[in-house]
Amino acid sequence: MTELQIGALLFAVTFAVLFSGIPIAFGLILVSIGFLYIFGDAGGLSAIPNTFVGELSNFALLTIPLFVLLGCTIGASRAGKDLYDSLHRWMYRIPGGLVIANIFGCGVFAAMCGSSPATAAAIGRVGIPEMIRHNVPPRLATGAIAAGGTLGILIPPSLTFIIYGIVTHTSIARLFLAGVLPGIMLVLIFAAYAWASSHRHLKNNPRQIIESYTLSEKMSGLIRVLPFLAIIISVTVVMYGGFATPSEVAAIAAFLALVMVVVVYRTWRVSELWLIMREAVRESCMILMIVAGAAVYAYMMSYLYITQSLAEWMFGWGLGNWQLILILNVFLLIAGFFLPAVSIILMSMPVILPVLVNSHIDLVWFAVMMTINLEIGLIHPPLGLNLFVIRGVAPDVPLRDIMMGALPFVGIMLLFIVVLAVFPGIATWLPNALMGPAT
Amino acid sequence: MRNFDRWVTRASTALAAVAAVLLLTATLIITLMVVKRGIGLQNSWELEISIELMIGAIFLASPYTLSTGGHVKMDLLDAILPARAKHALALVALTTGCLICVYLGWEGLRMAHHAFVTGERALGVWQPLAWPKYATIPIGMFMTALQYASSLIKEYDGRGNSHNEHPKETAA
Repeated sequence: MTELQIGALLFAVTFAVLFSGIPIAFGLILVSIGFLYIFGDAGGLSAIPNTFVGELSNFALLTIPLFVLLGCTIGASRAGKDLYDSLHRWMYRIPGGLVIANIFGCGVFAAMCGSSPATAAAIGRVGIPEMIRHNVPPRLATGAIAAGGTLGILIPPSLTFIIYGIVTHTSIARLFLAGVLPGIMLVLIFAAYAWASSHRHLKNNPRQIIESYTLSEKMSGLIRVLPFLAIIISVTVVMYGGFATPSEVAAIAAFLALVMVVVVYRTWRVSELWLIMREAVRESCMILMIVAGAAVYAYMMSYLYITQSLAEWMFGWGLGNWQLILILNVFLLIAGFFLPAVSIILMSMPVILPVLVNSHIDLVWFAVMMTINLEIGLIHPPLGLNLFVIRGVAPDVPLRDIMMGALPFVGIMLLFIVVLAVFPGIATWLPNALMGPAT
Repeated sequence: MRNFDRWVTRASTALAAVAAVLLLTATLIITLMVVKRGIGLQNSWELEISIELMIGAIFLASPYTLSTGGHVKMDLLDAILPARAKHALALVALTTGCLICVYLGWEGLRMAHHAFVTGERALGVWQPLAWPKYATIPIGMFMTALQYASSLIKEYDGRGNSHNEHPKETAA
């Protein structure tokens, strides 16, 4: 068999194994052992354990459990509720202000915790019942939170960017900066859609619950959230000021967040801290096991010369950059329907990276486009994780309504990918302006 | 059987608690490292020990992650297949997962033994002994295999719930 034929067989077998329901990390190791046994030799097989453990012996990888700990800490606190309350009190007069407050809440919360499901759960738990109580259509309410939650992997700190940065050896700080402007723009576009949609709905259903808030009421929630916002600002200063690496920044942020939940929210009992820590180790274990499993998979592909052959085969297509970007985006979109973002990056980048480099495509720009693409997978049927998170926090809204509510936001994100493709500066301007052009 | 299940669950939770302590310690050590550097002191052992702690935390948390449905998987077929095929598929997936964990545990044991006998040290400034890090692999992976065995027995008895979790659960 040629390397290309082995590659085709590998992808078929990988999907069959992963669809069986075996955890992705173990499935990747199983496939790697099988292919090295059949098509490789004893030397290839014997390197698997060292590849598996060696991949984890990387200081940059510490960024992942530490940012996960930060996210779990903030997610377990009442910061989401306070953030939502204060934004609602400031924006309740605007048509659709409640939905916009939720979307802004998702954007800010995403910047604090870096996790999409945590963002959707924290803001949605409070926001969806409140929006429905205020006569917002359930589809708009749930769709806005599902889409707003996806911003967690775009607005820094983003686990997706961390993994992409480690795999492609791209600066994580640069990637974080690249996500800022597209993240803000998506928040504003989501908010504009919510405003237009609410405006239309209010014309037909003018009934609204009248409420008003004093300045002190408006300020009270904000004051409790300020310490967390201070963490984001200090993290930004420390990282971009060159005082610490992303892993060190993650540790400081996680430490400060733990101190904050103890001081601000009085979460000091061991049982309460255990809830935070067990989520952090559970989520970290899941991600890092996939990282290690994917390293074995990438090693196997390289050892059997599949990676190189696939890359050469793709060079042979003679595609222009636009065609290549289109094909890669379609591939990522389809993969995102079935696989989580972390797995897609780890499994596909060893093949895609040489093609991108050969085509002189900006890796930072591609990272942002890829991340928005993978965000769509989070709210697209059949397996969009945020849809199920929303279902969990709003059990009264049928899953079909949640899915239908998310579809307009899928359309917005697809259009935004096109805009980003035409205007790469949306992603690359900020990192280039603050850190100088990439070398 | 029930005792075995209870014992495995308790041991997995205990290992997760140890993993949580290791992660928390790594967080404190790295914070200390930045503070030390900020006041002009030199860093020596902090970087390497925090990597060792992370690796230990990951492997020790594995059985708890499995028992709570945290190891992400794609069980799309689970929603489509009839009950009997689903049961058969679950048995195959659980057995395969168990065997992979035994393999990783065995290889980890060999690495730990080799590192202990040869006095192998990690690369870096401080160069800590490598065997404690490797020792967490067999502990975590053999325990994960036992967790699989427990799920397998339950699935065989028709009491399995290993396929109830959401298929694409992830941090991202």
